[in-house]
Amino acid sequence: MKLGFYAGRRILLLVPVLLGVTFITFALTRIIPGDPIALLAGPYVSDARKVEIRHAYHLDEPFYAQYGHYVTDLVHGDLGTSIVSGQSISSELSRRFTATFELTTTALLFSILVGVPLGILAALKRNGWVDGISRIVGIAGISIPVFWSGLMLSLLLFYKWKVASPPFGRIDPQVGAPQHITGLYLVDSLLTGNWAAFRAAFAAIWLPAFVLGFSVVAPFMSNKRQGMIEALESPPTTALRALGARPSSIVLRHALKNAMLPVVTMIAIVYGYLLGGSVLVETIFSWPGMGLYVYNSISSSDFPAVQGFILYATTMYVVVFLLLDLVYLALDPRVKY
Amino acid sequence: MTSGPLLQVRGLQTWFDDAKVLDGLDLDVGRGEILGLVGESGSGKSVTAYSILGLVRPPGRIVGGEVLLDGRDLVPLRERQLREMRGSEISMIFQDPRGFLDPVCRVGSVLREIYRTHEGGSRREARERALELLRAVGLPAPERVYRAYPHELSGGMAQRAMIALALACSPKLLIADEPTTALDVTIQIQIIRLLAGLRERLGLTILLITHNLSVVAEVCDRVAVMYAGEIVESGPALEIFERPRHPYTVGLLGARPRIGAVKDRLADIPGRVPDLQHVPPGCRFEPRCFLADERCRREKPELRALAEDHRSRCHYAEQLREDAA
Amino acid sequence: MLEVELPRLGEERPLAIGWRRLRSNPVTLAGLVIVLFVTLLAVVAPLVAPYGPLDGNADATLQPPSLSHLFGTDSTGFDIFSRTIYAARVDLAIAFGAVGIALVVGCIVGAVAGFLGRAVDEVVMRLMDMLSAFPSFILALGVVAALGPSLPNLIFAIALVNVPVYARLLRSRVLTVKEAQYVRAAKALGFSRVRTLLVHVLPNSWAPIFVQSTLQAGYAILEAAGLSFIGLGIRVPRAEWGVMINMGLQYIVSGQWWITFFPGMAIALSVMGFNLIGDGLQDVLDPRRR
Repeated sequence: MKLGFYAGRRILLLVPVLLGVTFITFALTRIIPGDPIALLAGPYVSDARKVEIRHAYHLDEPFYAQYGHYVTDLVHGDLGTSIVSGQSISSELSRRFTATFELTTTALLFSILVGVPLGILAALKRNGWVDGISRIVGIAGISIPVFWSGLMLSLLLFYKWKVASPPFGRIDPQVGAPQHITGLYLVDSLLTGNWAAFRAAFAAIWLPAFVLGFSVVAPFMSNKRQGMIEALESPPTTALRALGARPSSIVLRHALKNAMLPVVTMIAIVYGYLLGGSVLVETIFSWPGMGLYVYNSISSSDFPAVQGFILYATTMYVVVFLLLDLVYLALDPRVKY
Repeated sequence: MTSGPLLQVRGLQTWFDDAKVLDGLDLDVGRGEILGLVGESGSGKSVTAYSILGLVRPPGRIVGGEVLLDGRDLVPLRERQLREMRGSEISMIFQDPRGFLDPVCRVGSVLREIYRTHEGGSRREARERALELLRAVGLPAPERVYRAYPHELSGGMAQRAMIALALACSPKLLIADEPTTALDVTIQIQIIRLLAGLRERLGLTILLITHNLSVVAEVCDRVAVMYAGEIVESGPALEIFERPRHPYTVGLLGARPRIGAVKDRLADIPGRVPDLQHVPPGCRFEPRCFLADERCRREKPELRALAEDHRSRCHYAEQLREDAA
Repeated sequence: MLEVELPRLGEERPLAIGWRRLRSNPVTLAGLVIVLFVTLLAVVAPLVAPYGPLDGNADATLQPPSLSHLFGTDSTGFDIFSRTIYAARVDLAIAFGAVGIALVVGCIVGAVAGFLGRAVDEVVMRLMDMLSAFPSFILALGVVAALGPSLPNLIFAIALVNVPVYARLLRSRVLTVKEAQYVRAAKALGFSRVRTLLVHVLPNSWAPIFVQSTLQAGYAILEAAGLSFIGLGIRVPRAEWGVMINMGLQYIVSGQWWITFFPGMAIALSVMGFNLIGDGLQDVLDPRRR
């Protein structure tokens, strides 16, 4: 299976990229001004404890040795220990992973479901009012800061008009989380037929997902519009017209299929922004994901936790990128591997 | 069905903003004949083809003239009527077949679609017809081509597939826009012979647009030479080659025309195609013409008959006959 | 599409064409006006703002917008209107500063990689790839968390995140130009690479660089505000739009919406200005887009 071999090769190529990522993340600790002990263990430690910590964190060893220890720990899934909670950082992040994943993926779906059709319409009615409106919507999306729009919308919808649910947490505690299968409340509640949980989960997620998704509608919309325009002006379209093909077929079957592929690439690019934005959105909505975790860690100067988050989120991003790349290859009949 | 030419173009005017690319084009294509439309880049050959099919896109538009297919004028037709006509009465094939086929669709899928759009029918019937067509254009493994994507085919195979597509609904007229230009020399001959064979078997009428004179010599019954949006000479192919009656044609054929000596490529004629936004009052070829004089600069020559089926747009057409010996 | 081989129109100078298109493109014009307006406000802040950014008035805390306080006041009695204007200085400084630094550094890095080729190119581009593997906001977050929240660190972090874009852009231009015939001829004549860079590469590249920079400037403001909002940038109580939003967080529930509203509008307006310029420029440079 050729795709399998190619996938295997790409996964192997991941290794140097991830090594580079770990290197830069590791280097972050080394650029900390002042005494690294203070950052790694908190400011209120005795001198004796400092010596212990220095040894435990290998700070008395040369740079490359320290990096080696760091990577070895990583391979064992050890991201270090939080100063504040004393817990394993990787376990804390893993627990919160599904929450962030559910939020970013829902936001992504929203943004595609809005952006792609708008882009198609904008291409078909080029320079018409649909085109103009969607352009404005797109630019507004990427210009308005997510943390502000989230706040303003909660203010309006929850506090003023009382239509939205309280902007805290993933689900109304009175309803309770559905049975854990995937960790994604929306999915799990559907799988177990738990309608109350589904409604509650949806009520909690729709606003943060909307806010996050709105900030990335523009790329999908303009990409789709561009793709459709190019497809509709391309030679195959001329040939199809010359053969009397129906316009609906030309647009919906041929042009659309051709313009779909770049959307996959766009998802990969956009996911990075979603991960960054999730830090801000989770903070505003008290969404118990990795973003909120890092916000709390920043507030309490828990640098190892911050560092752990960076690595975790970036690895997630790199993997998503790779998966989407493979999806693209599987979909495009032109590419040979 | 009326008798007379299958296609009659009269006074066709297609303008692009203020460039009068076609400004009064006349063309006849007889039933069952292969007419070669010859000219250099920029002469307006492709624009003619697109105008016939009503495919000209803004800023281009047809501002006047008639295009009569079997006596029926196509110019005033609405888009919906044109769509019914395209593919079922007039079809077109293009220069770069792999570039003109939808890369994400299998060949068979497009064949079925075109067939069912015009003729209806079930998926199975369409598939039968598609395979039959692929066989008819000389593809040895029609099943494989049916399932293939365009990029998986060679240039020659893709062009055959495109021809199959064009013939799916048995059109009366096939317009071939430089069908061999992007192909290997050996394949070119095969495709041309295929077209000739289809003309024999199906009674197909073909308007063959090309700048390749050997193609013309191989298969065309009549030739129309085009320059700067006008026909400058037309007549039977042999006539044109042996006794060209327009300086431009003479130039294309290179040196003094001799019987039997046909050049493969158009010879280089110094100068360039005129700026169509500022059309001169006299003959359009005048600046590059070795015969031109003051009269040519002032007075535009008409396309007039020199012999029964040989017309030329030159004041001094007869003089050429004396020069060639 | 339709192959029409028309003779070439008379060639206008590119700059003249650009200006003509710019005038007919209201989008770019609007963006330009907005950015110039905000920049002007930032520059003449002391003249326009009725109060200083840190002039607290304990008697006028949490006042809604009024004639004396156009945007209201916050919990310390700071005038939101004045602070919003002063904050423009900070956010625009970050935007222009970070993008400017990234541009210079990135172009140098890209040019070096392009010209020296082979090993240097490999190493440099791998480094750029490693930087790009991070989501930009998250990398900037890490850098500021490590170095400590301050204005210079913020500028450095955002600049760092933007370097790879310019490096790649310039490297590809250099590579294209290197292959051109006339450049090879020049090299054979002994002209230096620096000359090639200045004479051939840069003049042709200013357009994509400019477009990229307007878009990056917009992102820079969002990143700066976002980082400051979570405590990793400019710190309370200095006037910066993101910080101001943070300071107003707890008062939303009790209805004092103006503390967070106006700084956010300012961010949205400024970023939109930059994006409109970038978007409009792309239309100007590639007319097929519209």
